[in-house]
Amino acid sequence: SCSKSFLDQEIPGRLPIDGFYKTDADALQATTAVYDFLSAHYNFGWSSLTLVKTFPSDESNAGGNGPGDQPGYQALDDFTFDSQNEAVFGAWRMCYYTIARANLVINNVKPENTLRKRLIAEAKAIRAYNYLELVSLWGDVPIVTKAISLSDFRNTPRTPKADVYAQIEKDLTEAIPDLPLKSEYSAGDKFRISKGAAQAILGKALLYQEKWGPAAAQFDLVIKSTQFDLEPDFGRVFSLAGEFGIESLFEVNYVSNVPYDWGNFPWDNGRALESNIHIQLMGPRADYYKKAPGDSLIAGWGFNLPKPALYNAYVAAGDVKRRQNTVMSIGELQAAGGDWTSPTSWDFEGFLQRKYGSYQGQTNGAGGAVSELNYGTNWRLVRYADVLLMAAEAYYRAGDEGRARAELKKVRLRAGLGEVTASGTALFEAIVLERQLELAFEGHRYVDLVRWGRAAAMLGTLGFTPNKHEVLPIPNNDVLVAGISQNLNY
Amino acid sequence: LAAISYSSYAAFPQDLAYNRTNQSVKQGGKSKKTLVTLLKEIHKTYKVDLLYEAKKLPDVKIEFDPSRYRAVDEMLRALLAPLGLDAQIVQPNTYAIVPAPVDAPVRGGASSNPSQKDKKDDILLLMSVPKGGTGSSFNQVADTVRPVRVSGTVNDAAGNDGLPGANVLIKGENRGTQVKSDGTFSLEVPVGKTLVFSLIGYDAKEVLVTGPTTLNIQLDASNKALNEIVVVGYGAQKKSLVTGAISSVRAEQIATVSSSRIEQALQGRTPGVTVLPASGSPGSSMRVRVRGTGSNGSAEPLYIIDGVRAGGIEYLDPSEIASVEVLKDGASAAIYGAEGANGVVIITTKTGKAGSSEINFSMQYGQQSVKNPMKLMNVEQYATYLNESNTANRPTPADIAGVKGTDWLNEIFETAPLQRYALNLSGGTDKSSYLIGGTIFSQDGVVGGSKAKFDRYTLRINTDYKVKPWLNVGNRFSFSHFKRRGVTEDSEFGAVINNAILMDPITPVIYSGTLPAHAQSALSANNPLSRDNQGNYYGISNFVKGEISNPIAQIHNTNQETKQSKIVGNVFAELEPIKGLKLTSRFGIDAAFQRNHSWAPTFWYSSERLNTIASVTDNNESWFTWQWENFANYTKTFGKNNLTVLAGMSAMKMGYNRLNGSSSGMFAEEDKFAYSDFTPDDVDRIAGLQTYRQLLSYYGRIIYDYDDKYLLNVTVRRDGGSVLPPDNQWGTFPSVSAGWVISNEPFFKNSVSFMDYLKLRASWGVNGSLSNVGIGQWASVITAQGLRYADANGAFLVGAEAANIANPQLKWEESNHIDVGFDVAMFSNKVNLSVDYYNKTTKDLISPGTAPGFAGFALPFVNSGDVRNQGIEIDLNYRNDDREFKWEIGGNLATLNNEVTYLNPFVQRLFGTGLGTGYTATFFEVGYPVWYFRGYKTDGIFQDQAEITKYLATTGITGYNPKPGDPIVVDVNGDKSISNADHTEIGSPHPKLIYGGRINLSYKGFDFLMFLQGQSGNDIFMGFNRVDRPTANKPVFFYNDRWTGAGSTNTWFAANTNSEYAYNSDKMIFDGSYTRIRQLQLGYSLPKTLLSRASITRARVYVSLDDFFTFTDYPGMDPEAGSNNNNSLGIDRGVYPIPRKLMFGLNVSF
Repeated sequence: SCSKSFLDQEIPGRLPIDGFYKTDADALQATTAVYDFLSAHYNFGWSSLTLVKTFPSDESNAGGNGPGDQPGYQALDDFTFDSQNEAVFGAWRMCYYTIARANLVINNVKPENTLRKRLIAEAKAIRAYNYLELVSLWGDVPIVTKAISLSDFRNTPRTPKADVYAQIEKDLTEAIPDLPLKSEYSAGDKFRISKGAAQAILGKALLYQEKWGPAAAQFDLVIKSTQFDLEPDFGRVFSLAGEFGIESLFEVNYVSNVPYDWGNFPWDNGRALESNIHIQLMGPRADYYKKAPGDSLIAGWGFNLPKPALYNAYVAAGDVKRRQNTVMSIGELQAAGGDWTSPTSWDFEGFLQRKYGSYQGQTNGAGGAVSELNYGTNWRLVRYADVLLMAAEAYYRAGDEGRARAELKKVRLRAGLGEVTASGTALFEAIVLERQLELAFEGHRYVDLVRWGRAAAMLGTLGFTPNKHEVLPIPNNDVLVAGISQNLNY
Repeated sequence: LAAISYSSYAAFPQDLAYNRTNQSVKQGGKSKKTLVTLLKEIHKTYKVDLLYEAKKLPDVKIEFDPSRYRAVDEMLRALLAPLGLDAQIVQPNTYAIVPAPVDAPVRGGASSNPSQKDKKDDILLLMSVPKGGTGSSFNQVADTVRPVRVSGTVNDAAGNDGLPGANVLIKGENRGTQVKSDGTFSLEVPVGKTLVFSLIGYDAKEVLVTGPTTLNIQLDASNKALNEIVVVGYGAQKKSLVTGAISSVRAEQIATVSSSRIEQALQGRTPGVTVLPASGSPGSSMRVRVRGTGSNGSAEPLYIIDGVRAGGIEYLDPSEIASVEVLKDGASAAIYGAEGANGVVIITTKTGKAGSSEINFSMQYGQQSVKNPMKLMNVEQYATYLNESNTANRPTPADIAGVKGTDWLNEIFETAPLQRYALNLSGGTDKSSYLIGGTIFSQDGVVGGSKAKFDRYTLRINTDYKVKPWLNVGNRFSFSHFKRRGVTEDSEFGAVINNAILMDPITPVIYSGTLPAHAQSALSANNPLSRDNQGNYYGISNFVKGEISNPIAQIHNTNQETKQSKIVGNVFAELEPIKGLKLTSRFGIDAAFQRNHSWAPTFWYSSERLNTIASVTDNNESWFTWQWENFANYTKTFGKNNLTVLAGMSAMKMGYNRLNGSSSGMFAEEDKFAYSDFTPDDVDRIAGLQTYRQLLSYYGRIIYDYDDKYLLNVTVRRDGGSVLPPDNQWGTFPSVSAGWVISNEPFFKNSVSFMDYLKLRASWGVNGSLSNVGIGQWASVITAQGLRYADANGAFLVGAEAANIANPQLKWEESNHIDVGFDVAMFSNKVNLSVDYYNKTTKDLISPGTAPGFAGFALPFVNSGDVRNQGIEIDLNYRNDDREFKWEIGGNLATLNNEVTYLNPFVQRLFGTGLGTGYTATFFEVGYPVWYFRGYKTDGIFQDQAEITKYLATTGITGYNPKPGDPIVVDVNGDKSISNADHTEIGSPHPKLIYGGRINLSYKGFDFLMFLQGQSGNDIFMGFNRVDRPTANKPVFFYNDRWTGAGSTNTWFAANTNSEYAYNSDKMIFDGSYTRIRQLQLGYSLPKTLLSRASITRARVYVSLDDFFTFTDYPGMDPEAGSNNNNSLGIDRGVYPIPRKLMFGLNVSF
């Protein structure tokens, strides 16, 4: 009728769902959206998965201006976080939002040709990666593999961890045959998840389940694939040049060329953000920091301040190379001609973080761009050194100490340290120490300590409560809206 | 109508004997009868027509025997003379009963001397006609007599001011004239006809014409309020018969306001209407809340201008307005059902009057200033405070030695001019009328001066034509153009006024000599430091970093301007095919074309706030709405039943169009290079959007009354909105209201003499609102907007995904509104009182949806909240204007009780606005006011370590390490720790009481007005402080009131720059109550004798102090100015204060 047509609403710039996912181009764009959400560490405010995994560890303090500065992060650092912690909620959503976009690809794209099969496999691998984050941080979590409508909200309970791991293994097992080797991707496509990355993630999932043999087998496939190696120089791994390099299995890409200034930065729409603002957040606080003349670490907002114990661990291990690329003491800063004017500033214990450093060279201050806002630094999600250390651990646990030492050796030699000859518990301790030194600030330490059963011992003085802090609280929103259960003691 | 007239009998002279022989006469006899009864008997028995107003006859019982008299006139005089009355023959066989001449024994008659003022009652029967005449009186008088010339003047009750534009009509005919601009009229009328003199706001008067005469009519405004015609949407109603809660504001009340905006007119003048200026900056918007905030989102009322819905009313100058009506209750607003949930403001613009021709000119000129802006810490106080709080990076003694310092608030404020001019030409004949008007308004900012300037020009053409007796056509058209400049406001992240508060007092405005080291090193690093027009470098803080920077430099570097041209108007045709049926068709447009143009020079304020490349930004927006309405009104009277039926439809399409772009690399940093044609192409950016939405409506209304006593009003509207899901687009919005005019009941008239009018009324109505629904927000659709991801080569790939979880149940917000009230006029209409109780619940608020995180998508909007507003409104006025010294006093007040009564039970609370960094200050939660303030609750100040130890021991709180001088934080949830979980309600931005009052005095040519307005019970969150910028300056009371040792104070904390317990707590909550004297005005109207020589009909000059005096305890800059955002109400991020104004004004009419 006439009135009906008058009320027809045009929705500009939008397409009905059933009109999409038809062509290769559709499938590519749908998959790009999946990757895009991996970068959304600022999408729900400050809620970086990397920092959510880092702050409950013994690597660093939250920092910033004071206890009220980003309270979500402060609480994670202090083990005072509750189910309403905004950073925890943001990280939880980041995982599930990525999964939901992967679901759209997996469920709607028809695997009619090689490209689409590959894209579905990429989506499955990314889905598995996110479920691994979820299960390792929250324990039992809802498994969502299809679109959720209003009426599904309260019909989606938490699933036991074992089933989540089963889903992870299933996705990866299905994805691996359809994924190309990293070398088979074009230069531009190197950001895509490759067969090796999927195998490493599968190995990690198996390792976390203490399926030592199968885990070692997956890592072995990665190691033997000849697709990856360690960068000769540790410092290069986290440099611009190291991005998507030989050591990189999977990383989240950011760029510095948008360019952002204080006027156009998408504060209210982190999804649209293409630079890594967390690098600025972690830069030494501008209020107190005087850069050394020869250094390129420029000022930021002062979060993620290393603890002395970490620095001392490098010193004790005689580990200079990795220390210099991971943490800097104020003494070193001053010796180089820089300064820190407020030794008593909040959460500051004398050290600055340099792994994900606010390096001048990784941002862009040209042509109206503002350096603070344009860090292109990628998050390294899976890198070869981690694969080797996980392999070492898996082999050790599976009883193959020789192979464990062999993989550990590769990492140590690159760090300029000697081979470990120990065996038994001492070998395991060496692997533990190596993971601490090699992987600091990459978001592994807290989960490692928990799965090794060492969290209470190592983190107790920082506020870790056993039978509580092994997992993060299920966000209160989901408990209330979906009626799912809460983790113990939250 | 109390006047009576009985059918006349054969029109020939009679004698009583003749009549008696033909009638069986029942004589008066010995029994006493009332005068009315006697007159009725005389009428029947002697077949004469008697004209009188029963109400004005003395209520006496008399013994009278008509049969004793030979002639009718003799009998009547005998009957009436003792009562001070007289009978006057006005027509053969027809007598009018009039007051007897006071000092003239001989009846004056039609030829009495008109210059004798006291003779007027001699010949006239003056009758008040409360309802404007239903047309039944006098209409049987034969129309066979010769026309005579009647002329005279029409004045107000005091006889001082002529009333140009008043209608002079021959009753029962559509003929007449209008009072000219000099207050005179003249027309030819057959003897025996009645002239009706009427003007909106005055009692109509009827005068029987008995011969050629000159009349000096005074129209009485004594029960003006009740006789006003109020516009009710698709029609008009007499106020005395209105069953809803409708407030009116008349042109004269707002004629001299010094605001550019009409909203100001409503502030304090209408009970229950809250007007919140978002800012004191020129041209800034205002938020209007009718009966409280009814939504978590936009709660702006609907604006109807000359019958057509408008997007806003910023384009109207107060001088264009004839009247403003606010439909407050649900039943009144229900005729605009779909969008009436937040109240309806109906604005009627001025038109020309038939029979008149006049020129009106008015102007105002004023100076605006801000007296005593908030005091900040000076250099010594600042240094001491930072020292005591052990704040890092604080100035050393050497830094402050010999530094005079800068009072930044004083630096940014200046005295700024405001001016307004309005010229209206209007006039008309009985066939057509016109009004052509124009206004100019110009206001500079007290902050930013010409960088914050608002200029507006308006043109209006309103015309009406009577093409045929049954066809009227006309138009209402307005063109406006404004230009607005402004500095950044309402943000704690780098806005000018905020930065004037936070900037340290040590930094100078400019460097006059050599640069200090930190500035020199910034300059040496090739940073583009800003300079003033004399080439001096602006001061750069060495202590306050981040985005906080020199506000004077910011003003200097501000180059932005919004220009808008707008056409609003409609053409209409009104047909009256049969008597009582009026068909109206109206087509209106609201078209606005706006360009915001800005450019940023290179600057360097700090490493975090800089611009290294000059850039240009343009934003072109246009809005185009058309609306077509067709409706029919049918009015019918049968017996004492009066019925008006309305039925109509409306179709509306709203279009929005935006094209914006920016480019960088200006060739030179000057205005004339600030266009993208002159910048390198490779950095141009462009964006744009075009949307449409539609609304289709059908509506009907029945207005019924029985004998002016029992009133009923039933409305229903059905609306379809395109923005809703296709299966859920239609909503139905009904209302019922009823009234009982008790004062028209006989028992009341006889028993309550002091009360002239009393009406009880009650109403119920349902209204809708779509103002918080966006296009496609219910849908899950594929989007690629903003989705891109760089590949490993840095090339962007486009992403696409299904956005949002679909919500096919999305529907209208719906208000359910009950109103009970009464209207009273007392003591000869000198006292008018209206009281209303209302209870309005807005349900199904369109709130941010809350999907579980694991759903993977947002659920942007669901209907999931209820808000209840209830309160009492009282409007009381007393007027004494029957002497030369006239005075009037009026006041209104409304209580507001605002509470969220429902929220999706899975959601504890909705998060509102953030403050500083990471702290959310406002929430939307069941049991609390809309967007209440939440934070730590404190209970005094820790005086010493012993008290702390005791507190921790008593409460068992751990993990909380306060120092003496810190606020005592209450463990609200009792979990023995202090955390965010202890946040609780610490304040509400909503006033509990709003009120307004005015006093008008006049004596001879002088008049005086005081108008005040205020509110109480609301809180203000002092939100300009920044815990993450601890070296930022603060108001001086932070220093003066601070705790300085045990026993010094228990109310304000020790020097502290970063504690969430101080800055995210009730310590930042202040009582926001205020009373502001809006206008204090003294005027003088020049004597007519002087003016007439220059053909000037009236001239008034005045001086006015506007917004000059404010009474408040709020220690910030301005308790009134708020924020633009719905969830930021009451948060002071460094407001642009409302300036006080010293105005001079002039009104002249020719």
